[in-house]
Amino acid sequence: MIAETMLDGYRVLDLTEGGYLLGGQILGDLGADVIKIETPGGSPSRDRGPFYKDIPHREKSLFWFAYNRNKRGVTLNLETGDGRRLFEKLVETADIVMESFPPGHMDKLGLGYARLVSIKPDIIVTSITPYGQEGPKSLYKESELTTWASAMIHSITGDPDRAPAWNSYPSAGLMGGIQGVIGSLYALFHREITGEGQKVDVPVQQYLLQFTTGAHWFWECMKMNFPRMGRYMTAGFLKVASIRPCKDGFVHWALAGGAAAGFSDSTARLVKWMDEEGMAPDWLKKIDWVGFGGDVVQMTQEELDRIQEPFDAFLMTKTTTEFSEETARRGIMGCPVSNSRDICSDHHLEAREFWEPVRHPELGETLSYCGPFAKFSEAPMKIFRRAPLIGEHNREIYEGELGVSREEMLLFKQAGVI
Amino acid sequence: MNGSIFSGLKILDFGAAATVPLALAWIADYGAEVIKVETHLRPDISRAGGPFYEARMGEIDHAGWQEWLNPSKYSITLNLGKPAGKEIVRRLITQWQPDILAESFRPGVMKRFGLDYGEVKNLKPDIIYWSSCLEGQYGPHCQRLGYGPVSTNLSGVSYLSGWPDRPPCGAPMAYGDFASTGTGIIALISALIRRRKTGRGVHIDQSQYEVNVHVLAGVMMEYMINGRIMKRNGNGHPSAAPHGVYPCSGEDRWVAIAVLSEADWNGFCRVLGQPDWTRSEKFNTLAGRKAHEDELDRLVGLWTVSKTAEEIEALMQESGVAANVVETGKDIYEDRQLAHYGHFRRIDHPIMGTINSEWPPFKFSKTTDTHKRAPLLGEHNHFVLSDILEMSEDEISDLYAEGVITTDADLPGAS
Repeated sequence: MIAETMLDGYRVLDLTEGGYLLGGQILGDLGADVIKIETPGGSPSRDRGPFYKDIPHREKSLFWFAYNRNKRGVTLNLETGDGRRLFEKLVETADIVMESFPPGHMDKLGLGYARLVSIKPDIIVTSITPYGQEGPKSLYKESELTTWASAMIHSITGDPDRAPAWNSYPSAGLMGGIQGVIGSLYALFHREITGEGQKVDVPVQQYLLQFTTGAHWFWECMKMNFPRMGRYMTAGFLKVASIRPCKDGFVHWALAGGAAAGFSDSTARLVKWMDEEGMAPDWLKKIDWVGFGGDVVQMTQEELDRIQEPFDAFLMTKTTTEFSEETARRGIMGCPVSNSRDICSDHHLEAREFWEPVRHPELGETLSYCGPFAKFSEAPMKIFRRAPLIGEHNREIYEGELGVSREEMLLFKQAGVI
Repeated sequence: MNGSIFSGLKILDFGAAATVPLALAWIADYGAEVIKVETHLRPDISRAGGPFYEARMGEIDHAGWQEWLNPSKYSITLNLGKPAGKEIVRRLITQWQPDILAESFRPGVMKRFGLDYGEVKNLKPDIIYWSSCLEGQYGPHCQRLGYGPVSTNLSGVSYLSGWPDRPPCGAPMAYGDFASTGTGIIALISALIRRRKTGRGVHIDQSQYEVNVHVLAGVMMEYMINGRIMKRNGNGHPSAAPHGVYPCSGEDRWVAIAVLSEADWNGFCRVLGQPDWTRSEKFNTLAGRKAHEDELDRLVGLWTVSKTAEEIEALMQESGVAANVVETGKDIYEDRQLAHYGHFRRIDHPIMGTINSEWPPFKFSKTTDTHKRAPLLGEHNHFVLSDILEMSEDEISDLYAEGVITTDADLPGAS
């Protein structure tokens, strides 16, 4: 029989919060049965904005909606003995536990790896934290901002005349969620072959460091601290603008040449477009863009800036939309500097049926969601359900699957266990 | 190869730059055999660009990004423009039997090589075939050319980076590549798990633009539902203050501090020695601090500027407040937490001597990595042709003579 999704039949218990929630959602998109475990009253991540129609309510957090689809939800107080017993029953049925507590917290609850293994010998326990489970900074107080700072990406983002800036969104956590899924799947693949489960330590700092595009390697190779360049990027030892004004906004295009695939072709195609509109001076048309990659190392900044003047003049005659359509049509490395409105109205995404409608019966509305992160020719990822309401699947899971009696459910509810 | 997670797994890597190569490096680091197919004719940007050891710009063998992007792999150099080059790939597929083929060309290029999913599937029916490009395999904009900086700007990340009173400053360089590295690995391992059960392969069509938009889902919902375009905010947080990056003693030294709760605020004030202003009407509530955030940040900056970033990180953390030096490249190599994990380790390199190599960002309790240094360009040509494809020395010499295997003489600018 052909499985309808990639991860049919695997169960994941999601104890993470914040951006890490994206991890469980990705496993859900892939078809795993993901159960989000929240504290009674609801996860603190439900307090994160933005909110549906600006109504600050725990059932209306768009942050919650965005990163918890394809999960079922139960409430459970792990600080109580009864709560821990219910959790252990769930662990018996699970393949992966993902958690993001401070290191040692699961042990303090009596739910450390050793305990979980005694319940489910091949369980995989994945712990996602900014610095990892061990080492001198593992017990540091965490935040999105400081994780960002620990990974160098902060120091190279922003205008050089001001403080480093972040990207205004909890991206460190979201990337940590992706990283947690990688670690979990490595362990799952290993278990499929050997039958052996294990503990997976996921230090977000180390993945986030990659997002600098290896800027840290400038120190390793050349003892150079990669600078904050604002709207510019490097070209040899010089700089070229990466974000440039156009007729009605900003576009991304950076002058580049050289032998590596794409750069010289892209620049030559842009010059051809400019020439078609009579805006490419003869000297510009004569430049060999493959050789330019080497030449730029010998140039002065003034020379490099002068070469860019006709390009900047040309861009000022184009709107972001015109630039976007033509760069795509001609195979040029350029695009608009998009905001969320541009993206939500992009006809390319529409043609790829990226957005998916998801029904929210309690809101009386169907909302548009971002589609999965890739398209598969078989066993595609799908949106099976919206994010869970608080305790929405308590009965289904506790009574229906674990055989908890109605009497116990009443007891647990009143005792603050669920 | 050994007992690591992916031992026995074989991968053909047609990736360029960062997204695909880094993903496959992290699989190679746990035991998979990866052959990276390259060419001297158009050297990968990871060899032609980036930092160079001894600042020898453009010298392929001194390229600095290899130990970051391509460790643990084999490298062969083929001219896929020649029929015999394509034939070598077809023989690798039928004789070596790779489990995964990954590529990051513009849509249509692999078809021109006769190596698109349909063709490869004919040769190896259960192949897991990963195509990763800027905007996916189809759609009106799918031919847009792009490295990471394009996806960074196209997907809204740049718009969100910088200061509200200025144009977007952009997230640096190829920021937009690396969520696709991670999700690409996820797709591959999921597909491997399914293939073990069903015997079936798959074609993965990954648009790096869509990956980044997917990650920013909350930003998109804020627009779709509330009609509001989320904007860059420097280092601000919607419900916290102080929350920022503050100047420290020394040149271009900064510390990030995040005060996220009442308890944090009390801890923060303890570190500052409870100056009067912290108890003033303006600053003793969150609403007050948010309303006077610029002034607050100035006052915090006056305190931080006379101390080192390291000192403030330690003082704040001792008091239970999140703080971290805004780490530079130098800080990263001196970071004691990264050192504890052995994130960088010294290795022997045939040309550069002893240099650092970079390890993947995981630690497993029961399986170890098999990390090895990155290959020189074409280092494994003979190994692949002779040991894997069992070609004779005569056949191999012919391939060199006909330029099917590229060499340093084929480098652009070589005489």
